Amino acid sequence: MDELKRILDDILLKSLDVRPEVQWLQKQYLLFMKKNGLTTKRDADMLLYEKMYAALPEQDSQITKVRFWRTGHHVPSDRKQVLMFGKALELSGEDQQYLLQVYADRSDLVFDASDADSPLYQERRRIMDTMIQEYLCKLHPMERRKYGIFSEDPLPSLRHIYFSQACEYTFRSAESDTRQISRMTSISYGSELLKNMKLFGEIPRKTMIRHILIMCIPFLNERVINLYLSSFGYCPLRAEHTLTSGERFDAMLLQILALYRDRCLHKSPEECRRWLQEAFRYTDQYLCAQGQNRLRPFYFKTLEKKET
Amino acid sequence: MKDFNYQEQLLLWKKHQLLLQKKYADTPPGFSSPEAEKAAWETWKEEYTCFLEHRHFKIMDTALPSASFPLIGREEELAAVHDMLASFHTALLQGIGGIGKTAIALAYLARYHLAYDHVLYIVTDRGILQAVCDDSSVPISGLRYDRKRYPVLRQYYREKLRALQKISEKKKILIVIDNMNMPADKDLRQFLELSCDKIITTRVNYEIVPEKEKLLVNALPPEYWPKLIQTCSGRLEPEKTEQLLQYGYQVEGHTLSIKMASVQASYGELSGPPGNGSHITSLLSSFRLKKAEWETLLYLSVLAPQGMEKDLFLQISGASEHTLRSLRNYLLMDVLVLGKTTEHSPEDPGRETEARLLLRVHPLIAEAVRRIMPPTCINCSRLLRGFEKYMYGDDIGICTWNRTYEENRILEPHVFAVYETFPDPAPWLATAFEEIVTFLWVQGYYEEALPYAVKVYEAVMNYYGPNHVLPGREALRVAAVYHNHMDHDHALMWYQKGYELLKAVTPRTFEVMDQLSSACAKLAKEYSHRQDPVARNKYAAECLQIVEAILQMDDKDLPAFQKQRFSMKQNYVLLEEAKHALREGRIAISRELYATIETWMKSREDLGYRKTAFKELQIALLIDENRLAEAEKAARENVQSALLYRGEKYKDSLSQLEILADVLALEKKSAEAFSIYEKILIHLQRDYPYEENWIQKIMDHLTEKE
Repeated sequence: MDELKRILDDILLKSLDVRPEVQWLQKQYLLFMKKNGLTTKRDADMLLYEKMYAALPEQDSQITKVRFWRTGHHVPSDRKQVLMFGKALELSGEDQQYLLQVYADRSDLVFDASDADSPLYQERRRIMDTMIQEYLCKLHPMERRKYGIFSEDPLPSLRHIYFSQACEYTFRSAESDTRQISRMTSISYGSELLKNMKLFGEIPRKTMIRHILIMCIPFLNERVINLYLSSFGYCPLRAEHTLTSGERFDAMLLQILALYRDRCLHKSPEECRRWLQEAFRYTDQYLCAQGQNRLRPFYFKTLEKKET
Repeated sequence: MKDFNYQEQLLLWKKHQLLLQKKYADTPPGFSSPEAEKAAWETWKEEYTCFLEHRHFKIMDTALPSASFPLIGREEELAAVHDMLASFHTALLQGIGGIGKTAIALAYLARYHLAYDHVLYIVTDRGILQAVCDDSSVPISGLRYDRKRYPVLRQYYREKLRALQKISEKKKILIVIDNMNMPADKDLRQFLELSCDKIITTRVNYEIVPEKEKLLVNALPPEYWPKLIQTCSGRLEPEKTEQLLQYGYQVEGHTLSIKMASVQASYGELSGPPGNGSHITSLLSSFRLKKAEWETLLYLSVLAPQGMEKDLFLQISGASEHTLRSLRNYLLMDVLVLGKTTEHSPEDPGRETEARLLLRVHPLIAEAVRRIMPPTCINCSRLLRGFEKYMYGDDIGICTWNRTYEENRILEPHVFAVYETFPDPAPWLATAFEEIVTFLWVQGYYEEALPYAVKVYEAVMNYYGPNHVLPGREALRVAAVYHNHMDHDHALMWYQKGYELLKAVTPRTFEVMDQLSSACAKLAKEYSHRQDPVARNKYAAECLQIVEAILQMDDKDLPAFQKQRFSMKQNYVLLEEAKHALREGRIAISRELYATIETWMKSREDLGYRKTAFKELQIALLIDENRLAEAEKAARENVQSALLYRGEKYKDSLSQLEILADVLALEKKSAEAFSIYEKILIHLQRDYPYEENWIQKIMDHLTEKE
């Protein structure tokens, strides 16, 4: 695990750097200022605010959020604001997509029940269903028993399986027996997972990456993850990409995947899975100790409740 | 739990894994090359085929016998059998004994066996149920008789018929049941419903068989007699041939009688007119057989009708090659060639030299021999001692314990024949009969072993009285049957009885002391299981004292060969002590005792399978010292030994595999441990589904967190 520790240390160090996405935004700012004959950044912030909300700020403090977006302290809090901000910045279609998918780390589209007939939605659902199907097929007969699944079709137990396996990739699973996880523990994650699996609502990119990791292990590499990310409308893994809070999550994952390839090439799926389990448990423990919850790939709130 | 077929689900899971390995070929677990992919699929297909074989059943072909005497004048009957099978799938060859039914069946088998995918040849002197349930004659993969699994034999019969029917739907099968003479066999109806071809030879007119499926085998027509006489006797003077032809009319063309008379004639004797009784008995009485020949003939008539392989017979009966040759020349004994099913060809006299030979006597001759010379413990004592020697072994190496289940199974029908022939065991042959008892329970026949063991005990008690080593010894044998049948209350009672009897015997010879030490050791073990340390320690201490006393005996009281044999027992006692010390946490003592055992083991190369019991302790001690790599090595050796001596499916082998998996799990070699637990589970679910606690234990191992 020395190599893994080196990767994590390096990632933690680089996470202190300015986000490349913010540097890109600042360039867009300059272009916006030049195009609109603005001389100060404060004026640019003011104009952007006005364009976004069709009103002048009543107080000076109201434009602070736009300033923070520019400086990288914050990002727009929701998709609507991101889109309005991009429009106000007069971004081209490509840049607007970059702002949404890379800078704001979001998917290109959000679906709800009214999109059920949309061909794009149906295509993405088909991909998600295939991923789930393959995931359940990989469930070893003994794991089925371990999770108390006695029916032929494990789909109704998807939440419980997912939740239990997510636990197994965190460091606490090495200490406690994961057979003890009752279905009641995971029940609060039920509606959220169901929504995610139906691709309804805003699904954060990191959450989608977690879904892909859990469901595709051990058949994982950069190509597979990127294929799924792109299919679901997210920015693929890029070494220079950062979380909105600046952490080098993509770089970390890419380096772990490279190490995985190096250590496990042509080993059996079971050996590969075990290596990944160990690696992710170590990663989780190390990052938890550093207080870096945002970088923990399998960290999510319901799991945190279970842990505490 | 009963509906959960682990192997089936595992194979499905593996298939999905392979599909994903192909789909995600560029990920680390993806296939490295098309060759690797092909090899992985081949392995999977092999496993799947093996699974299907077990699930869908498959006949495991056995060696088929072929007659060493040509068939004369029965072409019409052969054609009739062929037509009957083509039309009705059943041919019942019915006729008096010795008329030629078996000869026709064997000739049919030799001529047409290639037209079938599987041919089964079963000789029985009991009913159809026993014939079909005999796994050595009707071996079907995935099916094995087990009293716990099929408490009533008829359940197994039905299961086996179902399996045969399933196989018949895809494969062409011929089943020959030879010499089935059980009148009004109520189980026959189900057998006849099988859609495969069936030939039955019988002296009984079974009413449930439709007339069109019956072939009455009549006397050989007179025109064939000269050829029959010539084949049996070689060249005879014309008047002798004429006399034999006359004899043929007197016995109404009875083939066996004509054959026997012809042989007699070739030796210069001519049979008188047949008496009122059986032709065969009177014919046989007039043969001038030597004592050894009569004895051998008697032994063959006592053994199971399917016959015994020549080498085994020679070993057990002590008969000479010369005697066998004489009996064969007299045509009193059949020699069947196993594994080379061909029609009789006089041009191939050397075909027997390489093949396995099966010796048997015609059922009519066997009946006649038993009528002339009823088998008793006296006239069969050499045979019984032969069985004793074979089963007990001439040294500790090879005996019933150290033979594989399959090796023992070859002997099973003959042991049962002896068991049935001698329902009242003679006390002076107690040690021979006790080997029959041991054999029966080792093979799992507790219900048969138990009353017989009690009979042996009662016989020696009545004959020798309590002040003799044998009653105590036989009481211990009864206890052993109870112990291995898991009836520990009765086992304890009989061990106690044996102990008290032996304790009171005077003088204390080596034999008495030896048995008494056994009684103490067994009692200590029983009380240990009952967690009664006071009683356990009392008997263990007494056992050690007796062992010490025996070792102090001089050469006069304890000959060298007995000393060597006793060293085994002494070390078993030490083993029990060491195990007990280990259980109680007295590691140093356990280790010390094991060191003594190890030194002794090094001086013995002939321990065979017994070595595994000692090495189990070694493994436990190595684990305790955290010397896991060495424990793993020892566990692997034990597995190899168990596989060699017991075979893959035997419970002992599964126990040894479990120990190995436990060691591997401790070493964190989870992947290998997991795959071994998987293997154990598959075997348990398939072969020992009633071992529910064991299955649950293995499942718990498999679901434990990695």
